Amino acid sequence: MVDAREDPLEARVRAWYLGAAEPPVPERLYELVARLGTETSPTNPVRHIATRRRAPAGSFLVAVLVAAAILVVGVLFISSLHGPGSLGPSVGPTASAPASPTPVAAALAPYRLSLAVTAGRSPGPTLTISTAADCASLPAGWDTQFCALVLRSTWESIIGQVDPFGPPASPPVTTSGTGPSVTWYAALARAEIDGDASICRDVATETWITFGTGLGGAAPQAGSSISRPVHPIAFCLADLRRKASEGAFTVESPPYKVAGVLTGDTINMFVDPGAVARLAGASAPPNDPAIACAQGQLTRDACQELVDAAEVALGSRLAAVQDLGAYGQPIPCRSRLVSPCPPPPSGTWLGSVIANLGAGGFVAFDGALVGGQLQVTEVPFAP
Amino acid sequence: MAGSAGGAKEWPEREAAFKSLVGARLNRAYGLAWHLLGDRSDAEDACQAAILAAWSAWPRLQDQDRFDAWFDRILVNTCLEHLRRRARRPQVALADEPGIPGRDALAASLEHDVMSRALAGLNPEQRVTVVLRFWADLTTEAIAERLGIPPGTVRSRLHYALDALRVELDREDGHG
Repeated sequence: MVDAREDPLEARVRAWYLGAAEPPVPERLYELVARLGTETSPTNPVRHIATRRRAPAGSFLVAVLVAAAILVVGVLFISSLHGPGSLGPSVGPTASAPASPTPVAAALAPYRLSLAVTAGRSPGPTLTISTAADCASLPAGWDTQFCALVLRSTWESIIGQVDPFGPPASPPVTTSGTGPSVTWYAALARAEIDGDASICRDVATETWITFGTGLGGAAPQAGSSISRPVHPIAFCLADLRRKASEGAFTVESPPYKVAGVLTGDTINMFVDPGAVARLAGASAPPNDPAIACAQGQLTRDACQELVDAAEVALGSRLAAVQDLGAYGQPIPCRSRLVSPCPPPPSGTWLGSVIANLGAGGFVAFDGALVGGQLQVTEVPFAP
Repeated sequence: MAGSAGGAKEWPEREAAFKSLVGARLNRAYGLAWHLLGDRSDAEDACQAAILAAWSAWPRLQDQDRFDAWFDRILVNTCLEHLRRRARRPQVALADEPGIPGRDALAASLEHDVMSRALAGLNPEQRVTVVLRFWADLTTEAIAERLGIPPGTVRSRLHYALDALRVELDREDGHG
């Protein structure tokens, strides 16, 4: 179909498409096609097909089965961020991080849920979950884990250091991805139930929104794009308010097999009536840039520290920042920058931050722990 | 099932045919949606919606030889709806990874972004036309059939889309 008279631009566009590395087809689409005849026919409503479906942008907390981990580089690693030998630039991933909740003995906060959709059962009644034993009526596995975790009274006591992209508590039945970490979804659910806006200012939430299409959307995948403008905190607050005003939201479990048939559960979560009032005073800052924590390289806490410190160091320039990316690699020294590379800062190197100021170019920082305090140093960077 | 093509007896065969036809085209369908939408999750959603829509409409497709154009049209319309909804927010495609592992990858991603940004700047109709022409390698007539517009309109859209791309790429390349 290539025309010999094709102009250079057409050839360039065609070549670009030819060279584009297209992502593999998600396994869920093959599953969908395979299941079409077994669960529905064109005379039955197709919406009842129990396939994994990403919720529309703006809805909150839909568990997903996507390869979130491949969005970022390598596997997550956990290290003591404040101890000797922590996260130096030459330290590679040393261990895959468990999606274990933060080990905090949190108080319990009862909440209400109902099982809306599950295989072979009728929708369940509304239950008040006061103890983990109350979760026993849910399908075993992800559902009961999620249910028990949400009992913790704060989202901070639930979320893990590798969330939101941590590995799932139980492997998904498909091979298309790592699946969601139950702690991430439970933490989000707790914040939603309470109308706790503080989760919106966490780098985990901001990263999720930045690279996803919304909090409720599928986990970000390799190839995700940033849709500018992204204002993750404002988006998060709007989502929390919407759920609070609606009084409920749904959570979908990762798919699993029952008698060889792929299925999944949908759980209705009921928002605390006081959530609307608690969210009334919450607001996003004037500058609310896209945030990207390189999850294969940094823990949540490390990313938060680096981003916070970089924002302070940016000063008045912060108003122009469109994106902030935090990395666990010495990026400036490996990129096309002013030569020679600056010497590494003293102390224990922690990570780098690159700020995209749009027309104002890029600003980069190295972050190091000096005397137990994080210090950021501006370094030349010219992509 | 009233009014459907084929009777109840034929349904299992038609069902199998549908699954076979769609299954064999999933790779292309997902690629098309991904190029149109620039986002894996959105592409997956669009494909799923298109498959389900096609499944519902399948009994009404009389000529299976027209499956490709028919299914493409459903998918493209699904993607167009998505793009039009999204048009309120300008899209800028960035590198695949938020991490920047090294110089080469960074340079490659930036070069990738030049074209990505230029394509993202097209309006939905232009973008669809460009993707069908240069990615799917379809003729003007085949594009027209899929979009339900005259071939002349396809040519016009391509012309304006390429003009817009040229301006944007010149600007990005520092010549504008």
